[in-house]
Amino acid sequence: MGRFVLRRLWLTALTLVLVSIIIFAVAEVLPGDPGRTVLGPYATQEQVDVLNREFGVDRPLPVRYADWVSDVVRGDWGTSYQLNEEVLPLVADRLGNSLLLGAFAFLLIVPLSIALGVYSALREGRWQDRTLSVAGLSMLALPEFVSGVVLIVLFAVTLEWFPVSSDVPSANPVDVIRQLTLPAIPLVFVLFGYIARMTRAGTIDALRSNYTRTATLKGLPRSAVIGRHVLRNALLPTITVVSVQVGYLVGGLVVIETLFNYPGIGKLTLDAAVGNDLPVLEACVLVTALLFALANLAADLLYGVLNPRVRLRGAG
Amino acid sequence: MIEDYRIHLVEEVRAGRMSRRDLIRRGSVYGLSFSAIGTLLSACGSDPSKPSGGTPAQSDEVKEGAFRKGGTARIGNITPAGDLEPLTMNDGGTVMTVQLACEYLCFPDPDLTLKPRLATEWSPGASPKEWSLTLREGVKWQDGSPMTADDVVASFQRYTDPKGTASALSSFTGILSKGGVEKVDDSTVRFTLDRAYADFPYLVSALNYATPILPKDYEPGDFRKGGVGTGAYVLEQYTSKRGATFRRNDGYWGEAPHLDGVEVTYYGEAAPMVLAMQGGNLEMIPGLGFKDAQSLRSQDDIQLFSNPSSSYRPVHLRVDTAPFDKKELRQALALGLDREAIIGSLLGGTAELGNDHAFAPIFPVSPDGEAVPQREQDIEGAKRLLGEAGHEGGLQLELQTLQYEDIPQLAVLLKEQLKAIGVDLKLNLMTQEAYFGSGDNQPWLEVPMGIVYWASRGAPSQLIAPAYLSDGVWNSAHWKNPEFDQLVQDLDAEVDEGKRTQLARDAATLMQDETPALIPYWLKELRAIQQGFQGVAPGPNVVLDPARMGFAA
Repeated sequence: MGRFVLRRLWLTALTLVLVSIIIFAVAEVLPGDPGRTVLGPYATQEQVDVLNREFGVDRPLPVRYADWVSDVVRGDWGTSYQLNEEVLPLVADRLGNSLLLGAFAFLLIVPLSIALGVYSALREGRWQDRTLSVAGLSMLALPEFVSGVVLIVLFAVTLEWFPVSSDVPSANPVDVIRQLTLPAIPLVFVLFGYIARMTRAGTIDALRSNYTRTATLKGLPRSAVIGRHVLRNALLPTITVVSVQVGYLVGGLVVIETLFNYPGIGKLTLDAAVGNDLPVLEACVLVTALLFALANLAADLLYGVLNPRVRLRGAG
Repeated sequence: MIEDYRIHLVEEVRAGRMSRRDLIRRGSVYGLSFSAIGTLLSACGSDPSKPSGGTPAQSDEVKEGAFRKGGTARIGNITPAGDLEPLTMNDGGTVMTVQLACEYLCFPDPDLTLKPRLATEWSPGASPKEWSLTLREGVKWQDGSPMTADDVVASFQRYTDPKGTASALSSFTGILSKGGVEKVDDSTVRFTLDRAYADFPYLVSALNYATPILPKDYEPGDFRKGGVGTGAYVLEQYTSKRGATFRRNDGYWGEAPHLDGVEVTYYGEAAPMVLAMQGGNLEMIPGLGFKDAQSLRSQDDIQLFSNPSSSYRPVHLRVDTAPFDKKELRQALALGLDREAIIGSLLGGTAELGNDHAFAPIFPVSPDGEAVPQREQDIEGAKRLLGEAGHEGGLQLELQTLQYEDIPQLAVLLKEQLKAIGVDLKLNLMTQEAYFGSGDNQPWLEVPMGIVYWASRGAPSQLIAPAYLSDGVWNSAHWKNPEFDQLVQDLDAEVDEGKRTQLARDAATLMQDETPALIPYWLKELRAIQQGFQGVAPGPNVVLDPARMGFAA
């Protein structure tokens, strides 16, 4: 198990290095440059050049990359070209906000989707199953900016239950619910159908399997059959799906963050890419990739706990 | 000279060559005080004679009652692209935020009449090549030290430094060079221009938004730390891409501001900002596009002010390359447009007709429809011109432009309308970053046919010089016409209002005939204000005067 974790961490580090190189390489072909973004379309080219020289972006990319790497290793994440601000606190702050929103959404999505997925499987083919399946698919097809706008108009503008724009909540649980519920719901819509279907399929497979029949025939009560045998096997594919969504929930929230004006990392990443703000872009992508890798690692470990075959192979 | 000018203004009005309204506007540019203008108006007699020039549509009437002391106003803006830096600012979000704390020498009314601000008086010398401005007494920086002539001189030295990154630099090119401003005494500064420029006060007003007066020892980055400026509100905290908070400046030189503070929130896009306005979470959105504002129209508790402007979307045609080197082709395209229909379907009728010349109706010198007839759709005429240009059966053209507010829909409308004259327009829409580009790759200056957006300007030549003069840095049509250059330069130097009108008419006629660009409309700018919030003028859009705003009692 220890070797398994070590190997995964090593692979993660390698991935991060590759990702950081790719970002720098892609920046070469991105349109625009930081000087132009800061000074606007009507500044003269001479002025843009002056500013770019100040930023140091007129140097060749490999040089900038080498500089950047040596700084990052020493703990200096650099200064944003556009915002003239230290990158590390900026990105850490935004990441924290996104994690908070992502975690809140996760707490809603995962139990709800798994519970209803299992329920669907147990009611396979009946009206409850069909209703859930159709509802899940319809919500999946609804883009976040549509469901988000509908929610805002209904619950924030008309009923005034929630604020229109979501700020970072204070530690007060009431405030957390007030600020984060509306932005979390479109995410529930997007992910619910997906995760619930996975769970349903896994559960149906497990219910039809020989070991379930055996467990039932040997006289175990139904709750024990489902809890001990069915769920344990049915959840394996679900865990993979859930862990893949962690990256989306942290880095891919651009639409939700823009719509609710929530200061997360998704919008920061997009702005940095558009404005060619490499230090910020690198930092955003790296922390997102790191989270993604950690989520996958967590999923693998959980897999091991649930599935002895993986665990034993890892140890052997 | 100024005495002659007063007499001249009265004569122009008496002779019916100028409206009383224009007298107020022109008089204000020459630094006549309002009592002086009042005297002139009574000297003109009571008969409001023929309004001359393009009479701009009035901006919306603002009614206001008594103010309640206190409260915090919440203002929504689009997220600035850069950091909050007055020196390099060029977008609405930054400009609006900076204007809460910083002030200019003069300030424009919605109809472009100039009002005193940090300067109390101004007047040209023997010719409009030299301008003297008297500074207001008793103005203090927010740290308590007095504002002096040295601060003003240092500010303009910085804005005209060719080696610097000031965004005002391009607006002064060819007009004011570094070293052209000097301190006469503690309360007077003198500008010596590169050439005579009768509209110079506009260039030191808020309309030239990147020219706020900053302390002489100002360093880039100081503003965002807070406490810089002479204005009614003091910046307390700024968080990049999220917003800024301000408190009242108790040492403000003017009447005490009504509010306790101001909270600025930045939004990545207009839609969530408009929703926040609808939900009552904002008191004001200072600048808003037509489409974004649509959902606010149905709401009774939100006032939507519109103000005529010189903001526009020229469709440039590169006159130096085939096929647009044929004037007949350019004219044919212009005659193919149904401008009324474009304004109707694109902007709900809320724009003013463009006439393919750069003198927007809001400018006092703008020639009216009699002097330069309005171009109207003429399919037969357009087809005939196409034939003369050698494209009898029509031709295919490519229009390259960017994704920005009304521009993509404008491009589609052009494509639809030009089908009627046999022109097959291929559209190529790019992102803003790609279209503006940088360095050697700036498509908007290179493509044969393109559309770009221009923000509102205070004086015609501010708009014309960079885009249509031979040495213009953003002359995307590559149109170089010495006659036109001369007319515009003469207009800049001329103070005689009759001659100014004549020069503007000649320049407009020439430009319309040459058609380096199709100008379908001049936009009206929108400002949304919550019922119960008041003391803010409806425009101009790039400008926000925060000193009087507050909640109704």
